[in-house]
Amino acid sequence: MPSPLTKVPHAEESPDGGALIRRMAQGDRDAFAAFYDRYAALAFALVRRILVQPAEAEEVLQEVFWQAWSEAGRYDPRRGSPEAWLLMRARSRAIDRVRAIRRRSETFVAPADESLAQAPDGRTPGPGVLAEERKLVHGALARLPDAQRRVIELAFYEGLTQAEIAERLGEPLGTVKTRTRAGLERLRGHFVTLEGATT
Amino acid sequence: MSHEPYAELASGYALTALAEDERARFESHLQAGCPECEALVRAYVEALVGVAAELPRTAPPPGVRARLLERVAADPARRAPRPVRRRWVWPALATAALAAAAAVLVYLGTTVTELRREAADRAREAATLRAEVARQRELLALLGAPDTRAIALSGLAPSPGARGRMWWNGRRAAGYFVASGLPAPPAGKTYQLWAVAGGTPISAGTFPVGPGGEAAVPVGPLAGAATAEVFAVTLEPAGGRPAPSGPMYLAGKTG
Repeated sequence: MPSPLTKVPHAEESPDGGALIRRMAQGDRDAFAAFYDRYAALAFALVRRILVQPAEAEEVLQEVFWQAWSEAGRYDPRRGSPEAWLLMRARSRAIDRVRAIRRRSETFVAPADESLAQAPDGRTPGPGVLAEERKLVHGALARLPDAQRRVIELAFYEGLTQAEIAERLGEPLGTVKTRTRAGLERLRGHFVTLEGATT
Repeated sequence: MSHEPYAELASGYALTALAEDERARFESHLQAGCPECEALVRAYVEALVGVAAELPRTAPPPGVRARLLERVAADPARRAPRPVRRRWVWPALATAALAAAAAVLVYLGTTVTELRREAADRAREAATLRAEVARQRELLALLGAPDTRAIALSGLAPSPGARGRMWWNGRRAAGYFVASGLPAPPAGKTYQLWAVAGGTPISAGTFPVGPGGEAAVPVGPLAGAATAEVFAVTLEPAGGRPAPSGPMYLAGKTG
């Protein structure tokens, strides 16, 4: 079943995302092209949000869709929508890339110049992320209390573990866990309501 | 046996934000069969998909689509679906040799594309390992240089059991610092390493400690630290400070 939350233009005219993936698993290249056309902008939006630099985001997007082609045979519709299958993989690859970039910039030089000492260690948001935050936060995330939104953004978009989030925010781990659960429960409720309203 | 702890882990799991031991525990729980937790994780994941779908959409550059279609076109014409492991029913004659033959057939049935994907993974691993080897070579060169000295650092009042060693090369003003027994820093704080030259402490950066209180920190080249003879570790606010302000945990000097 496709996720009703990600209405794609002309969705009624084109085959179900799950059907496209099944055909991709059989080697149907037209199905792959249709799959790309249907989901590329969605996946790219998430990868850009995580990675910020366009060149890195393009590379990751390419890998994600290639992996989707190669592993189409492993898609199990009982475990989630086609959107979930694709986007969670896109997120994993993008976060892996962010971590690799962070590791590269952490090795070696400890400069005496203190202004340089705030080296990219993943703590200071890059200019792209700050620009994002300055834009109005729309939609489901905006409806969450700030504290819940923060922990979910840090986990979802930056790939931090709950322990890392606790350290970053200077909060106890238990508080982070409680807020994560409460936030996801709210989001789940929000989208269930939407689904009821649109069906 | 309460189910509540697992329900709480489900949200962290959906965000892939659990610690390793928690993740393993929750996955065992799922594998043991828990439709409630499976449904919970699915619902959370679909909600996150909804969040992602609200991000502003930009089309990727057309080159990405073109390159992908080329690669897909170059793939073998017919891809077999993932092989199903069939159980061979040979009544009395089921021997180890037949089982081995069946295993070989399943292996040969692995699609070419799966092998290609593995090859791509290996190539990525090799690149990462090559970079790591280059770093290790630099480190060995430093440690092996005849004018590199080892300076022992002792634990001070906040951590009498801590130990440290600075392998320092004055000519290069570079080194490698290792420590053990440092207590985990409280939230909002971090350890910072200093090289003191002519009475002036020069920051060699902040560093994390592992679960056993151990640390390994490559240092330098550090401007102004060629003549450093004293090395110390202090506990500073997260992000470090231009000059030491917090308690000292380790200190040592040459000679």
